[in-house]
Amino acid sequence: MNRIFVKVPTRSTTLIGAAVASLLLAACATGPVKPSGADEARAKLTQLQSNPDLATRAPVAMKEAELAVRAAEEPEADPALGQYRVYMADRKVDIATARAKTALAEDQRAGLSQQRDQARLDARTREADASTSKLATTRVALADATQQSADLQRQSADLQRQLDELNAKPTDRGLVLTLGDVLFATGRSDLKVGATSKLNQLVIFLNNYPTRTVAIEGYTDNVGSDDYNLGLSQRRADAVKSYLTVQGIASTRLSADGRGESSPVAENDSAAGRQQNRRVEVIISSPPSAAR
Amino acid sequence: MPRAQRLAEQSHVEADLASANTAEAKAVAVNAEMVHSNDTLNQEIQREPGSQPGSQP
Repeated sequence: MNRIFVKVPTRSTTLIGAAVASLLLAACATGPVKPSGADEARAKLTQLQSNPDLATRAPVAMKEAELAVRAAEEPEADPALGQYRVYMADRKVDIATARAKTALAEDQRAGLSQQRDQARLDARTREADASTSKLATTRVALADATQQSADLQRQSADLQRQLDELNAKPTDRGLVLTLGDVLFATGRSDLKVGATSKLNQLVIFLNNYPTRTVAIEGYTDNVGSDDYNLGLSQRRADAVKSYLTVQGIASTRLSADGRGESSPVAENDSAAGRQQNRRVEVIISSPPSAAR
Repeated sequence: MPRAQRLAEQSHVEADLASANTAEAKAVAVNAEMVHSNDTLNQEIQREPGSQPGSQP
């Protein structure tokens, strides 16, 4: 025969059960909870992670912050430990933010450095271009100066050649061209036909050097009266001036003066001397720049 | 975790944060100086083409 034994609770077992139950109830009332502040730390980290400029720039610090926030989010029965973890998480997020901003600034610095280098390069390029342009200008100016110098030398040679052809002699008064009495018949003041070759050379010369002016002075020998000789020399000087004017030389560049028998260049007691004294002198002025 | 250890770690993380903030401030200051310098350089270049940077007008 089987016997069924039913355990009847004793007083002591009832008390133990009540204590366990009350402990369980107490545990339910003060169990682990998420520490306050953990959500704020998570929000701050999420904001950092969603910033495209900062999210990937400090990966180590970012990972440490993530771990710290996760630890802070763990329910914890010990409030002090929970607050410690929140504190650490908050600081870790701040550190990650600062490191990411530092890395961003350093990356931006590379761009700034590149901009500076480009600006300097542009400045150097511009400077080099300016120097090249200046050099080209200088070369052109040098070529011009060389050309001018060659022109002046050629003009000087031309002048010398033409002066040689005119047989003009340099004096204190200027270049003096002496035209003998072959220009005029005795006692007359009209130019002989075919006796104007020297005058034509003078025309060419004056056309080539338009700044030059001419003083025409007529002289005679001592045959005849002073008044007659003075008038004759004036008319002869005028005839030369008239010829030059007709050939196109401006009358403002010409002056004519009769000096009669004054200023002889030879004795009048011989035919040869008188012939030398019967003359027309053409004094060609020096150019203004050459006049000192 | 003993309280002393927590305090030590809090001090350590505070020091790290201070260091990170200082590095960030320096980096930002350096960049600001570079921006200013670049602006000055560009103004100088624009003011007188062909002149040397830094030359007086």
